Amino acid sequence: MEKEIFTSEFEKVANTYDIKLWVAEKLGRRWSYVMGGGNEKFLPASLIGKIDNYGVFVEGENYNAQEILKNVEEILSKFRNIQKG
Amino acid sequence: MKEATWVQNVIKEAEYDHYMIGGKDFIDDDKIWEKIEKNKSPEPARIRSIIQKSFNLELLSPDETAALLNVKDPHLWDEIFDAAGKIKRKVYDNRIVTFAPLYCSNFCVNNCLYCGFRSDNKDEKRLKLTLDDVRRETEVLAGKIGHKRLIVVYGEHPVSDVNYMADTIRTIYDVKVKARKGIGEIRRVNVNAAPMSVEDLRILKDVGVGTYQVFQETYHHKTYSEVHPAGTLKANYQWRLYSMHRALEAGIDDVAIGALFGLYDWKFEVMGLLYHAIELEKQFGIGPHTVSFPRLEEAQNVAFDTLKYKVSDEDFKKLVAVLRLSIPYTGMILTAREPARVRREVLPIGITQTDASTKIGIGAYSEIYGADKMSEKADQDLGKQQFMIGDPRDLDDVVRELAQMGYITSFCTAGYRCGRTGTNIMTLLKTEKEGQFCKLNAILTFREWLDDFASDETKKIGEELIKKEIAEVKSRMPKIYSEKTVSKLENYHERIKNGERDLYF
Repeated sequence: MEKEIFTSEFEKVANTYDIKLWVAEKLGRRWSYVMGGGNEKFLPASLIGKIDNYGVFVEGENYNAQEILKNVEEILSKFRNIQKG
Repeated sequence: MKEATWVQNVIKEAEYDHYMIGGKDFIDDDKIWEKIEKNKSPEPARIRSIIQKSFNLELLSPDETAALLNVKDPHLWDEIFDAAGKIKRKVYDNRIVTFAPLYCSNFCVNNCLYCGFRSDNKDEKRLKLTLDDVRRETEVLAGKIGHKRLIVVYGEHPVSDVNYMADTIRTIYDVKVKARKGIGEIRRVNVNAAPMSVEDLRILKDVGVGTYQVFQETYHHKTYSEVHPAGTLKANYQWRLYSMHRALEAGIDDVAIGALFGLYDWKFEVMGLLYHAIELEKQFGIGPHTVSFPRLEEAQNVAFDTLKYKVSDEDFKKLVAVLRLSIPYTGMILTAREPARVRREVLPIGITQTDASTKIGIGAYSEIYGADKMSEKADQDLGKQQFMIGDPRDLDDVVRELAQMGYITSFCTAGYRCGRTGTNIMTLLKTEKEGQFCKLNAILTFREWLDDFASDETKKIGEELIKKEIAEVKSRMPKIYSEKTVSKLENYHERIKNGERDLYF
């Protein structure tokens, strides 16, 4: 349920930069999807940064990775707070 | 640890009890038969409307699946087969993913009446690959044949516990072999193993498993009890039935289900698989990544009447088509258990994955490829393998035949390496977007394989296919693909031709 609440926040960021944006959790060699938003671009996914155990993936072009990371960090911070209760 | 002590500690009832309602699991045998009976004579108009629902990529209801199973009119069946093929293309395009099984051990504490690995089969040569053996096997699979994806298989036994599994998977991932132009390596290891606890599944997850696969064998409770003798681990129906629940709890979000057709009535088993998919969607919002439907094959020293519920070729085709329509988004695996003739006929009605160059003896790849290749069914040693393989053809032969049939072989393993898993991939599948990725990645991985492993004959046919596929991608521009996508595809394709590897969308 918490993830659904944050989907709209990811959508907002994704739409701002016209990208598809998602976070995935690193599990060994595997990146397991956690949450995200934005329309499909059919472009290679770029791992633009890591926040704790989460990787931030972007499909798109001409975006500012640092700004996106900052936005995602804020969303993840709220997500963690809700999880902690 | 002694075998008996190990066995006592495997099953954790608390890990499935909480999913059961009033002490009952989600498979209600009587209800399944009621549904099959109730939908005995479906009207053609109703069948056509059910087919239409499948085209919307919605999971069918048990009543709808039961109606499909009861169709008698051969012309209506033709419509179902046709729809199944179209739905597969809608979700996955024309790509077929290939893989190979790697049997790591055949020690087993269970005594399943139909299985060559059963503990009462004293003629079975019990073997377990050392990590060096695993490396040698992988060198053949990745370096000579060119596979990128394996399913590793283990008997249920303390010598092949989860730590052994993790060690073997790590070993497989570490193998890199120089190929003609690039590097041969396994990029995705899927696991077929016994049901495990959440704690053990987390170990598998941490080592980077692709899909976790457990077949229920039969969903019929009574038959299940009869073929899995009391006192064995496998006798616990619910421990097995809730394997995928535990896997998803452990964070493995690509899970695979299956039934062994021939143990009980095939229509019942199709219903069981559907109920399993419904339950997973209900509990986790994630359906099965793949569904498997192996038919019971000849095995050594079995104690089961294999004729009573034997599934004919005609019914096999029907069950595959009904599964495709019932769980339209799922991957469907047709294995080399089936003879080439059946594979040719069934593949077009919804199959997404198949194996080739298949060996299921322990250590069989390095042994056989070190000497003469096995090409005949008669060459198989049932004393070292679980059952008889029906189609022992090489990957090169299968790839060439698929190309001639209009399919592109995909060695894609992109999804789980960039978070296209779980609810993400489910959404992509249900919205027909995954197939668009499949097309791009199929072209790139097929290019790699052609350059590194294909015979001259296959390469020639493959080159033509790649040209056709790239033209198709371009024809989908701008409706589906952007100019940027096409330009990236062409760029990656050229770079792979020049020796770069593992470029993907």
